[in-house]
Amino acid sequence: MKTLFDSAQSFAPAIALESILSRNNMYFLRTFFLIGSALSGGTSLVFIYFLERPQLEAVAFGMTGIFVSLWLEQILLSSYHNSFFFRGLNSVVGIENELAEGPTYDAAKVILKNTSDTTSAFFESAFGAAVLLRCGILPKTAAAFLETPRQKIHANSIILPEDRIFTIIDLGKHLLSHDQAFVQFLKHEGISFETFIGALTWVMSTYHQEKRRLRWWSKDSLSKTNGLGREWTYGVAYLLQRFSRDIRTSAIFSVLTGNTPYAAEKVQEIEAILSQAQTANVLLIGEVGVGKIDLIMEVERRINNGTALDAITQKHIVVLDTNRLFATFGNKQELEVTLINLFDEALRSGNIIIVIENLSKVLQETEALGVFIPELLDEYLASPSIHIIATDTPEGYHSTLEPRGGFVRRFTEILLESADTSATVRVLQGIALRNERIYNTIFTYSSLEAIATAADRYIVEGVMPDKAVKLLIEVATAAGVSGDDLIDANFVYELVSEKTGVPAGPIKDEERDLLLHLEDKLHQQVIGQERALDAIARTMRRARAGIQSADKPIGSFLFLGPTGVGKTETAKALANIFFGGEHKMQRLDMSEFSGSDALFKLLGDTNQSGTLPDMLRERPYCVLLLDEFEKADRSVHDLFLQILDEGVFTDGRGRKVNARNTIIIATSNAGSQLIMRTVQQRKELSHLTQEIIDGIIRDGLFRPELINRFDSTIIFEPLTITQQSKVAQLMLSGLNHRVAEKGYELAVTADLMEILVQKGYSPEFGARPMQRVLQDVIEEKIAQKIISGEVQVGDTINLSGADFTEAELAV
Amino acid sequence: MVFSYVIRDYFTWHYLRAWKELFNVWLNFLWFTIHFFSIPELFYSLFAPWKRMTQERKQGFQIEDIAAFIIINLLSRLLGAFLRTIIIVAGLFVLTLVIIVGAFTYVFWLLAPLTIIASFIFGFSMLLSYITI
Repeated sequence: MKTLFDSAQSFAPAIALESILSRNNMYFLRTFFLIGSALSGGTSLVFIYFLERPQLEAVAFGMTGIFVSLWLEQILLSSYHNSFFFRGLNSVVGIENELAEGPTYDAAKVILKNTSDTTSAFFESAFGAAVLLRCGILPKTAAAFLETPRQKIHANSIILPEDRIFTIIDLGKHLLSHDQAFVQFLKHEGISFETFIGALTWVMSTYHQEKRRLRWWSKDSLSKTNGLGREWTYGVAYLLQRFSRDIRTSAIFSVLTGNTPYAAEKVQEIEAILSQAQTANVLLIGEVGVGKIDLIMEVERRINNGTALDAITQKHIVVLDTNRLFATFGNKQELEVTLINLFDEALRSGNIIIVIENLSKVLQETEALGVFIPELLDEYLASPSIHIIATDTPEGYHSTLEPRGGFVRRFTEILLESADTSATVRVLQGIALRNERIYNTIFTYSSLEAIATAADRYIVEGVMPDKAVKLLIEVATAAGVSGDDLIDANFVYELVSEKTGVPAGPIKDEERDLLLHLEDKLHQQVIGQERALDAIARTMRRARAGIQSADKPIGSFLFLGPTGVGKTETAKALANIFFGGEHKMQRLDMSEFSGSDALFKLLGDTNQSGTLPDMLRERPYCVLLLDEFEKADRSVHDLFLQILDEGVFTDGRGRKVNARNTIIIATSNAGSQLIMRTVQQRKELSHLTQEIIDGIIRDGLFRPELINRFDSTIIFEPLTITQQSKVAQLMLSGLNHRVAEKGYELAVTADLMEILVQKGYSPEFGARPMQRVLQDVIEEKIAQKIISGEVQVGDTINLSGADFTEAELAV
Repeated sequence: MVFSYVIRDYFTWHYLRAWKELFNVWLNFLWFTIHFFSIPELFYSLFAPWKRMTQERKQGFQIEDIAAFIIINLLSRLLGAFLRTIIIVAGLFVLTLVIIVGAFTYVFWLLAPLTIIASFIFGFSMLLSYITI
């Protein structure tokens, strides 16, 4: 059992050396002495052979001797330092499983600063400071923590593992599990263990990669060159060379390399398929921006440095430039002949892997010219001497490739899912570093987590990780403009909220206020329905508190109740409150989707886009109102089963549609009879909710699993006559408003109001008849008065019960 | 104090651990030379046709056709063998060089501290001789 304290001692002399002479200075001296040796050596040769000046000759010789000795001394010294500096690097970066133990140079260096207080040693090292900054902890906060009285961890209490190297990452993890004060400090600063370890790994692995680059004499650095004459056994595809382009021109970002487990798995899959004897062709299917070309680039990189599978080490990847090909050969015959020649050449070469991007587009473009690629390529696709990697989007695959079954069978398909949040964070790390330099800001690790989460949840266009990368660049630009030098999660969420109009991230004051008083806000627009509105407010609060999972719609409700009791009005109010306007409510009349073609109409097919995807693409942040939901076809119910559960669905063209930024409200007057009866019998409605739901299920209107998918089922009660009169007043004030716009004032007496309420009241049909009464009686009267010229602009129109005859009121 | 401490540790490294590390770097360079000149690959494909430039035989029996077939394919193979031999020979030459340099480095390493001191004293005495002249 070795302790960190003991093992670190062996590094002490090398560390002491570095403190006297930094590695940069060593490099400088080495170069200086080498140049000195060369110059003085050259001069002495000149003196010996061309100028006969014995004295100067001796000086030059003397200088040479001194410079050479100093240079050699520097070489030895830096070799000595390198030996410690790079110790265990191979196993740290995972190149080989060399049996190494003990700390890394950097871990020893950190620990030797303060062996009696490892936490302080970590905090005060350059790495520790960088990690804390990436966590969003400012140096003065960290310094204040070190001042507090706390239990200190001595380096001789840290036992080293026997089978692997102990890095600074391990040191950080040790502190997490042993230093209670440190853990409390992180908690107090609002930093989770995951964030701390993420930041730590980010800082250290970037540094380890940099170290790896410095060590040019290692096998993995030396293997980056291509061997001479390897291609000589294979033919040259001249035509293909003419119509090919660099793979890097298609790559979105060259960071989706083998260092994420997901990418590594896919790269291995591609290699395995290319190594097969038969149908060794790959079809990569994934949304635009998911990183298809980046995976192929990774395969190419592995071929070049000899880490790819043996069967493909001699292969050569070429990207076919179809745009140039089609631009050069515009007619059928030319194009056909060229394509055949091109593929023949490649076939004869024997080691070519041709990459065709957007296969379905290529197919369509050539078909327009009358060239049928599937027939043309069939022979080559079957040959073991040539491989094709094609890429396509799911949309293109469904519409164009899938119908050509025989052609597609020549390929092995690989489906690329969008990267998940943790993989995206890894991708973002490299991009963040690059943008930090440009915009002079620093990303905290939690800001990267926020970018990945927010991009996934709130950005509708595009796929991960591409949309996260775009968001990161936007964030960096915004930070550059506003002069913020430390980007945290809040900054990201604020920007996203601004961009989308949807509150994102932790709840802020204004929104907190809104959520806490949601009932009141709703009541301003909806009369009565205390219980229903309370239930809605509770559910929405729960959703925003983050208790609900992120991969669902913001909220989903099933509104049950008779007509005209405020279901639609509530939906409008929610649109108003959460999305800033009633126009953010999108209504679908579900009775239109009751036939057997319902799903087609709703989702579209390859030729025509569907109603629902169109709606959600146009306004992704909205209240989606599904009127008369029970009338929809069963297949539509099944679709919503999925939408309510996952927040996404696939449209008829195979594209993913995001419904996670919506509040979904399905309304139904199923069960209204039961509700009416309950209310008439003056029974407590809340006890009967379950009974009503059971009744609906018994009638076969909804399946129980569908009802359970909604966040809550809300029962709307019939309006009482007092509530109705309030509704009437609300309606009248609306009418007032419209009349005022024409330049008149409207005054309605209480007795007329009462008559109207009596006429319009209907427990069964709610407020609808009231609307009709208002229209038929009041509006009619106003129209008469205006047309007859009885009132002039600027006048007040006074209406009382006496103004109406019995007949006029009998509507 | 620090100086003597570093120097003592340095010599322990120089005469113990460094041998193995030097050997590993040497192996890397040997591997690199073989990899860069593709020596095994070129050796195994020594007589393969040059960039697959070959003539295919036509149907039927025609003396000219067979002659063209034999001559062109033979030429292609000979050209391939010639160029590959050049690279292989160059590769073997460099490989020998790397082996010699490696062996030399070991000898040098053994005497390195002395060499440095000797070179320094030599240089210094030359400078002194100038001053005394």
